[in-house]
Amino acid sequence: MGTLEDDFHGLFFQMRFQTTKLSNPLDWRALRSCCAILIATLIATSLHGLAADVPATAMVTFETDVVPILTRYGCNSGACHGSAAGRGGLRLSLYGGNHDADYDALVYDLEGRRVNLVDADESLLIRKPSEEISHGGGYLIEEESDAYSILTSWIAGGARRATTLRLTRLQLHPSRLVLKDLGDENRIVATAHYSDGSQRDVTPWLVLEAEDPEAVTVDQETASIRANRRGRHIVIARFVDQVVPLEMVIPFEGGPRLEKPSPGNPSSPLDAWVDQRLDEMGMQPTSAAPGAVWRRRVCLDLVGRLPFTMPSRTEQSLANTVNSDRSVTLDRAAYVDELLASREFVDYWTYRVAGWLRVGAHSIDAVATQAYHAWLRDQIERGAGFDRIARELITALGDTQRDGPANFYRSVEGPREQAELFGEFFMGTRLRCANCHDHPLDRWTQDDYHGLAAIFARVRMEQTVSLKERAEVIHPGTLRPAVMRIPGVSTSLAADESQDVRIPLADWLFESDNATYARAIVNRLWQAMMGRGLVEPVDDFRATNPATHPALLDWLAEDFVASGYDLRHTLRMIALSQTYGRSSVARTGTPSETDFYAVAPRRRLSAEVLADAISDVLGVADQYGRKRPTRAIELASPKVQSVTLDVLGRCDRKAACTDSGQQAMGLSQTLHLFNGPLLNERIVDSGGRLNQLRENGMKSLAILEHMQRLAIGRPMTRAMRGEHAGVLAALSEADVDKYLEDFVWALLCCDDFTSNW
Amino acid sequence: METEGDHMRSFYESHRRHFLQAGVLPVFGLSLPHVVFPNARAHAATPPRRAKSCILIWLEGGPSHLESFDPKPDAPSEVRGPLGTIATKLPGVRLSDCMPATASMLDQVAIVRSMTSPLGEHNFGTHYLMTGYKPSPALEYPTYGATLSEVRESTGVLPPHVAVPSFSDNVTGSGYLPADTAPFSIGGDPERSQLRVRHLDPYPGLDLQRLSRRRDMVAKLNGSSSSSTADQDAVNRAYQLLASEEAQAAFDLSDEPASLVQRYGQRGASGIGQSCLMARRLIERGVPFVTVVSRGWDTHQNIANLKERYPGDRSAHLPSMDRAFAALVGDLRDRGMLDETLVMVMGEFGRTPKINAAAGRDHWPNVFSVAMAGGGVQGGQVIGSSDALAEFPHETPITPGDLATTVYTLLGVDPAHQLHTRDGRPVRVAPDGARVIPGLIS
Repeated sequence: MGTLEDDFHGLFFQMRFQTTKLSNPLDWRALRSCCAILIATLIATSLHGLAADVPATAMVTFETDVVPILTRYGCNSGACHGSAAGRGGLRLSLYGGNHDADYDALVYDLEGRRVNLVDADESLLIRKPSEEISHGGGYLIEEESDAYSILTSWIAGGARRATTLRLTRLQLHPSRLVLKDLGDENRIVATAHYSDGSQRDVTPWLVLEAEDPEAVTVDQETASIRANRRGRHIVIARFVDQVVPLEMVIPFEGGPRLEKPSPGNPSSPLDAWVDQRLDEMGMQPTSAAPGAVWRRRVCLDLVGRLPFTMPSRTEQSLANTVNSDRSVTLDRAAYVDELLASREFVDYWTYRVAGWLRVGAHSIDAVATQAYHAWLRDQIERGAGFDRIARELITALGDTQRDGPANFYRSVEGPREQAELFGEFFMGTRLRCANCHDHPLDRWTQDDYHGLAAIFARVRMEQTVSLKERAEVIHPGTLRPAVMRIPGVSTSLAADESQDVRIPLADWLFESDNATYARAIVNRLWQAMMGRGLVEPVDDFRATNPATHPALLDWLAEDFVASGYDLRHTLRMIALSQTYGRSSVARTGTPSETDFYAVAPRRRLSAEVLADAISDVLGVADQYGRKRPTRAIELASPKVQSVTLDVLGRCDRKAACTDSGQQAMGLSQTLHLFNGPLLNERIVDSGGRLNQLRENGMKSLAILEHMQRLAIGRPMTRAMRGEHAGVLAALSEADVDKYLEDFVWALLCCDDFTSNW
Repeated sequence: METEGDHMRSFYESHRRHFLQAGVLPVFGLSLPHVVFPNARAHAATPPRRAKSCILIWLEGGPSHLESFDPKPDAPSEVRGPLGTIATKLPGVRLSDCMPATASMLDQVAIVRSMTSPLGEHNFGTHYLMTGYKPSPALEYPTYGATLSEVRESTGVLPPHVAVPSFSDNVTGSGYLPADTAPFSIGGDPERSQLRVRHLDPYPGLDLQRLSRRRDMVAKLNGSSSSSTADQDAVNRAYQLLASEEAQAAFDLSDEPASLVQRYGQRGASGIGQSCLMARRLIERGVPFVTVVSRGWDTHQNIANLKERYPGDRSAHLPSMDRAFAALVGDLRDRGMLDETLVMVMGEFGRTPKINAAAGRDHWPNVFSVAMAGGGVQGGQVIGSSDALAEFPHETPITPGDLATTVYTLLGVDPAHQLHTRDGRPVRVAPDGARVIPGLIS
């Protein structure tokens, strides 16, 4: 019994044979080879059109011909000989990243048995994958195949190399597919470009992998792909160590095409990019959200609070008209500017950025964490550009209890982890894969990873952060000290002992053609406002994870740079866009509507924002740690004791909390809400809002309406008002209190309170 | 309903796999010779019996196969490790010397020694082993318990998927299925005999009537919004549990006899004994899937700690696990529940064959072991084997996908049964192309 199993890191054929309990004692091998020959003959005749172009005159070399075969058949995949320990005694570099080592392993090791230059057919390189002799990886290459004849002729020709030739680029035709219908087979043709200017059709050696195998069916033999459902899908094409993503778009059906934006409401370039994508996807955006809904949304997003808690002029004037149901014209731009200028904005965005930087996740030094937090808050308050913040963090030195940014070097343990944190925050990239091997899905190499770690190795990560004159990390590939280098920049840094090598690293982030950092930050800002990054997850920028709106991302990054890396500038632009202002009520229910921003997403509030909102509505502050009552948002450390935050599910910042959980509440949490103190204790607090309103003599029904407006910003319907009035009229005074308490409890547990919509 | 087309397709697919085995794809249609393949019947066979429920004993962190179910007494010392081995009820099969109780009931257990996966990282490994699917950036798959919650009729007030004391930190559990299929973590500390659900008793001043009114009020507030009802479901389920004394009693270990409490073991391996006892109580009351989570198996240092952390230690991880596993299987059998309850012991991967510089073992997914008992499993056998150094499968490699196919088959769920993601697309419960572990099902 054999199964076809695709490897997570690529495609890999693993053949297995059931050795126990064969119900029919057939001669299994004989049967297999019979079938193989029969089918192979048939296939050879039908596939000749697809076969690799191997002109008899062209020289067959290791780099151009053999490594592609090793990748195509999964020989150098992570699950096989490409694993760190190799397999069955043979170790190859992952996807052929290291030609020299692979050549040595195949040609020189094992006394020339793998490649027998005297008798090519005796080479293990041929006999193993064709299973002339037993091969743990099974039967991969048939005798009639092109791969077989290429390997044979390569060996017969003296196992030549083309050491000066580099694979520079892999090009796909088509490079992007926009289809009308499902079900069509689409052939992909791949061309490899080499450093000498030559190119080859390498389609037969292309490995195609659908990001979602259920959505796209790949036929490896014919290099064709077929979409099984509508939407946007990514297929990753690999040739040797080059990976290229291919986007397939099959628009959703039905619905009229996009209407032009209404006159008098000029859309920003931001909206233009989003609308263009919607149009391409065959999607229709919803209408704009009502003013009150937009106000609650933008308030939660910019200051992490419910609108009624804001002392701004607009809020006050709105509060005066609140009891008339007439809608008030809201100057949205002025409202946003008020929010951006507020102290609350500074608190909230300090909290958000602190989460990205993992402030306090691992530190046991509360004073230092406080200093880090205070520094960050100061930067945001003064409107420091994110370029400046970056420089200060990267080049930080000093006493962590006094010099806030120095704590960047006490957030994780060790230079490699520091390199990963650098990648995560400044590049939006997960470099970790490149610790053990070149990143299989991106351009980062082991040299990049350990080169970056070598830079950080010179930082003494103690209470006082200082520089060491000499320090190194060992490159596991060479077992020698890694050469300091900036990721993706092949020139190594001078190891001058007097120089702070972190300075050129910071400079690199702001080189004119490097938008890495700007893109990573605007993507996080976009996610904070829109619920989903243009690249998702936000710390996983890589060649094979393209943005849903690449042009928009580029434009946002450019604009961010032009604004001087101004946080408020980009947030303001997003907040005032049509895209942001859409209703969250889905119109058609087309899947992935929120992915393309046809409707505003409904997002669960983070534990801290929710905790503060509960305190605000109840008018009773919560207590965190042993300190005086405060707001959850203002906590510097995620380690401060709080049952409230644990129940509401806070992020401990130990891992990148890139998605604050779209998960609904679990049973444990709901049980706590029902019978735990979190809500119950404070609803009846004598100094709380509910009791205040009662003492002020407000009518019960009015209290219900007032509390609902505060909590969910949505007026009570006439029908509900009638229903409540009917019930209240029949209750005794003591029972009226209980009814009010129960209603407030329900308000704090309903979806419209616990989410931003 | 299976149409003729489906039938043809599955017939074709079962053939297709055999041709893949021969290294070629039948690229042009169905005109294949009608060869009878040895396992064509096995593929078509429907599950002979249906385990009602399943207890997964999850050893979080990746238990060492070499120190438990697959010792290598004849290997060089750096592979063999510091622990000894003992004979078992099965002639020729040896286990770690920390596992006498399991050794003496091995006639009821099947050990798969040739599990293999390429994923040696906790999150990925956990996802693969608990769902049968490799993790994909496009989709998070549901764990066994979540799938079972989705396909089985609701059994009542108790949550259909329970974790004792709390679920793995590495997966959400529900994957793409609705959030209410995620495991309910009981909470509390079994290590201190404090395994109990919190907040079952009404808060002072509240009673069931008011809780009921609160639930209704939330429903009304949610009803007028257009949001999803996931939170509403959570509120409803919590209320039902609060309203049922009988259901709440399921979580109370205090009426279990002291001798049984002892038999399972009170301490060790993060309370695995009391957790297993709780699992049995829940299964007995109709919960279809319970995951017992024992932590601390990520033994990068000093592997000998698994046996003894100090002289005279009786509650190190391995002896505690041995005691709990054997007690659970024995208790289920005594109650006549073993045939309808599948018990599994596993973690996300095995450990490196070579002892590292810190006298521990690192992550090793290439080969590791899973133990299974009850629920239609043919006990008293070892399936597959690892090679001499416990590095790779030697015979009958079994993938986590194969394991999923087997578990679903035992539980009476067709591995090809289709569930639907939130945006409506169909996904099989077990991956296509995987097979039932040969010889495992009795």
